[in-house]
Amino acid sequence: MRARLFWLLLPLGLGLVATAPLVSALSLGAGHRGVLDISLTACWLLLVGVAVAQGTRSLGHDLHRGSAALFFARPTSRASLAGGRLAGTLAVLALFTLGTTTVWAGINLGAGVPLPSTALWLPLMWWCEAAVVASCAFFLVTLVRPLPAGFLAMGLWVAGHLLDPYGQLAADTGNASLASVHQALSGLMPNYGVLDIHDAVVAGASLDPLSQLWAAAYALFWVGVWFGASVLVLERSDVG
Amino acid sequence: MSALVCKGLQKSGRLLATDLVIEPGERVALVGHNGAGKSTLLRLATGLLRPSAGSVMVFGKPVDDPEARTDIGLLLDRSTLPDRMTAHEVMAQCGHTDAGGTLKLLGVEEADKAIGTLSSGQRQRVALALALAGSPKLLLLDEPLSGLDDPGVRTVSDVLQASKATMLIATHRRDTLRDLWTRELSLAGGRLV
Repeated sequence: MRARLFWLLLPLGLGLVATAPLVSALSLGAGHRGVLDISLTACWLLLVGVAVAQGTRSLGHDLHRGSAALFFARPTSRASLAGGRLAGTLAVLALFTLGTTTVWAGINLGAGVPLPSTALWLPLMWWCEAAVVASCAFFLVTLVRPLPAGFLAMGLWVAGHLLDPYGQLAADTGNASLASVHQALSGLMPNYGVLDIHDAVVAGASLDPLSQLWAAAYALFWVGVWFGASVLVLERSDVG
Repeated sequence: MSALVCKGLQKSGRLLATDLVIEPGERVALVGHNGAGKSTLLRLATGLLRPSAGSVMVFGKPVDDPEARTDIGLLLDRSTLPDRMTAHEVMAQCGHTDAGGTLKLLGVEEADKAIGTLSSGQRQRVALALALAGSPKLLLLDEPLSGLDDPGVRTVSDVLQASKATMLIATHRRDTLRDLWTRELSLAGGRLV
């Protein structure tokens, strides 16, 4: 939390969110939905950026800048070092998610936009998505340096959001090759579309609580997958 | 039981110090040119680097066992201290909540200032204090005098002289610390010569 990055991101995030009503005013006819949509997207992108940065930095510093040696002066295993770092990352993301959601709600209420009841699911779904992105970056930083790991994590996040449209395309065209590629990719990377409730929030549509809880469990499953893979790599690699 | 036993260590196909045995109470100097493998050997001895073959035992326990590392005090060649934390905070994070005495003994003057603002000599003293805190039985020190001025060298020499720990010290400054060690090992191309 002392890292300069966070204090640079804070005004950036606030600035992005604060411009939502202005942009909404320019989007003729969009009204409240425009404010909701733009502010949601701004907050969401900010959170994903923080997740990538935090995911790569937490373990990346230990592995690539030598601070792991500090912890190796204690009876700490590689798995507990990784576990502690990931737990810290997820806790920081929880704080950021709450902060971002509060600011988002404040801006919308300040602009006279009533918040739909489905927005109550936003903090959980945002945190889940941020946790999966961060743990993916966390794993990648065990293989490559933080900067490429961050870019790869962002790439996987974008690809993960395209899985559903890609599957729809395969279904619409009836192309068996596309369908098998989609099936293979779905097993290899998280489908971030499962966690995306933005359209429902903007449209004010209802959400099934059970589906949302399943989505949260799906996110935790992927956090576990990335963490397990990180430990497997760490146990076999040099640190510090 | 030996303090440190390295057997048949290899890293990336390169043989390192085939059979290194250090008995309790010994103070061993590891000397050699740049690139001779001193730092690599120290990092292997702490478990930071994974050997491709061979084993490291610390007081009878494999170094992979986290418990074995409670006996080790470690100083690496490049500072790994977090810039934004103070010396007291780093000590506390590493489990040494009552390390004020060690910091004072080594002449750390500004233990409440962020480490990033300290001079290289003061940073080195903090790193040394971290290695010495908790009275480890085995000290692995890579260039302990690096960045220190003459008074700093004297302070550190005195502190190491007074320590009861077994030591393996990689250094270029053979003359300064000559009175300290009981045995000298030369490393060239990763092998003891």
